[in-house]
Amino acid sequence: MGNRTHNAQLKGVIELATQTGQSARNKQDLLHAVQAIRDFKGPLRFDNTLPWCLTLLLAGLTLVVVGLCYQYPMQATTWAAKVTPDKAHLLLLAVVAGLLTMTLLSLRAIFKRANLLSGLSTDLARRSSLFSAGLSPIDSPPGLILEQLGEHFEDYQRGNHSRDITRALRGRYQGPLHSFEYAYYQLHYVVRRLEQEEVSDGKGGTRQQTRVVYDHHDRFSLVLDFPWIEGIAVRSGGPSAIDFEHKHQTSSTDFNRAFTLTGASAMACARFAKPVTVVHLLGLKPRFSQLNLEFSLNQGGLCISFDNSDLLGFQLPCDLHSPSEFHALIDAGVPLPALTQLLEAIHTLAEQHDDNFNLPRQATPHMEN
Amino acid sequence: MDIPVIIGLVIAVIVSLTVIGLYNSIIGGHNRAQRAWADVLTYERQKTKVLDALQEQVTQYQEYEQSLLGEITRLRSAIAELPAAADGNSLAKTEQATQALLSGLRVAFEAYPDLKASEVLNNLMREITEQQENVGAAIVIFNGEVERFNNTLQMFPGSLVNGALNKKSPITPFTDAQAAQGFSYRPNL
Repeated sequence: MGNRTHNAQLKGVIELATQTGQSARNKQDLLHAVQAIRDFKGPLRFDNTLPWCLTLLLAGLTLVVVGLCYQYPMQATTWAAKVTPDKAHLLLLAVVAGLLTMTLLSLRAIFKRANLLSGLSTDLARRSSLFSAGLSPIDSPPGLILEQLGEHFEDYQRGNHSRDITRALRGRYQGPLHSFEYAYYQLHYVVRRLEQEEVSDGKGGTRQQTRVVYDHHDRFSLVLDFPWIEGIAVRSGGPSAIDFEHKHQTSSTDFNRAFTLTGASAMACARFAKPVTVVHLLGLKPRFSQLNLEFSLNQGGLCISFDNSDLLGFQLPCDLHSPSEFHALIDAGVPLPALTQLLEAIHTLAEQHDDNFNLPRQATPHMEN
Repeated sequence: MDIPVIIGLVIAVIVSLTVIGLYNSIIGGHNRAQRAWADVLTYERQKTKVLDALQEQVTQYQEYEQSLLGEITRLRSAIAELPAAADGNSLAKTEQATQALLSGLRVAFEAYPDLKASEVLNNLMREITEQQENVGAAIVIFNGEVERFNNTLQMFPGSLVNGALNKKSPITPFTDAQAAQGFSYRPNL
């Protein structure tokens, strides 16, 4: 009875912390959720003695039944025939399948329960990472967002079957010199294509058949105001729709192989392709797959897009199994290294292209939640 | 036509195309290195425009005038001496003069608050630093192109084609001798 009470209490605390975490609006709410686990008296592991005994019993029973059927097939069939004379073999199979299913269900329940705390840790850390980066959801309807983005950036015209914004967040970056608002978007798009395949014609031969294939892709991007450059596209992959009229070859063969640089005018390209920018973008290329930069023509906006799904990824050095360490981690704020790296790279790009004689006033440090 | 003759013709065509390809790639590589060198020169010479404005500002501050004006003049003459043909060695003097000027400016800024407080001087300092970063990046690109060109020139069969037809000499990449002096390690190149 004592074990059941412990398990029920632990489950109750985890559920309470989960609810607190899900409704968290700031770091303090997350810390309350962690504190609930921290205050739990007793070990933070479920006592799985009984479920393991049951699982082993079921597994043993399954083996015994299979062994008996294998060793004494006649007797087993005779026994089964007494229950269902017509479907004796089917009954034996059903018994084995039933026992095996119960064993697997029991195992699944054990592991699911064991992962409750790890799952909650990941969820709290994910929320903490968003709070510490100052990211919050954009409430506009996804269709409207996509329409507005499509007006300024060709990179969102992907997918001939469907496209949808599946995640939209906004944040603010405070760099040493410049600060900027930015939006993070995840675009899910589907490409519909026809594929020829060989199928049997039923007469021993084959025939060609056309089938429709839907390829699902995700594209990740940051969008922000970038008033220093207009009408430039730097493309390392994907459709050439983002390209502008004038193609420009820089003096770097490595850059020309890695990117296609186009602009609204040859002058715009030449001004953009400063050596520092060429070297800077070449440095970014290995980190981001299919990296594209699109500077809109008139609005002074930048869309930097790529295939990497780990921009909001984070490291979890500890979890709620060590609640004090985890509390300190959440208190310090879970960092998003890839996002920070990209924002710093954008800030560097801004420094390379801003006007040194028209700089913003020195910014105050950004306060994290 | 006999099969040996056809095979001979095919081989002759392949060899001719290879030689033409290598000849053109050597010319293309040389032109790319020359263009990368032109970028280095462009950004070096852009610094002189900033130097004009800097000189104008510095003359307002009599007490720092002598040393800083000396550095500016040294850098200006080093930039003027840069050759049009690609040569990494010739950059050493300019780079040293730039570093000396930037160091002199920093020392003066730290020592005299009125200089540090001057927004125009700060912006000029930032501008010249940015130009210097561009020179640094242009040198990185230049060295990459030089390596590619020299490889084509010195590796087989490019070496044969160059020896017989192009007759180009390898280009010297830029190496920072002053920085190298700070290392006790010397690669056995």
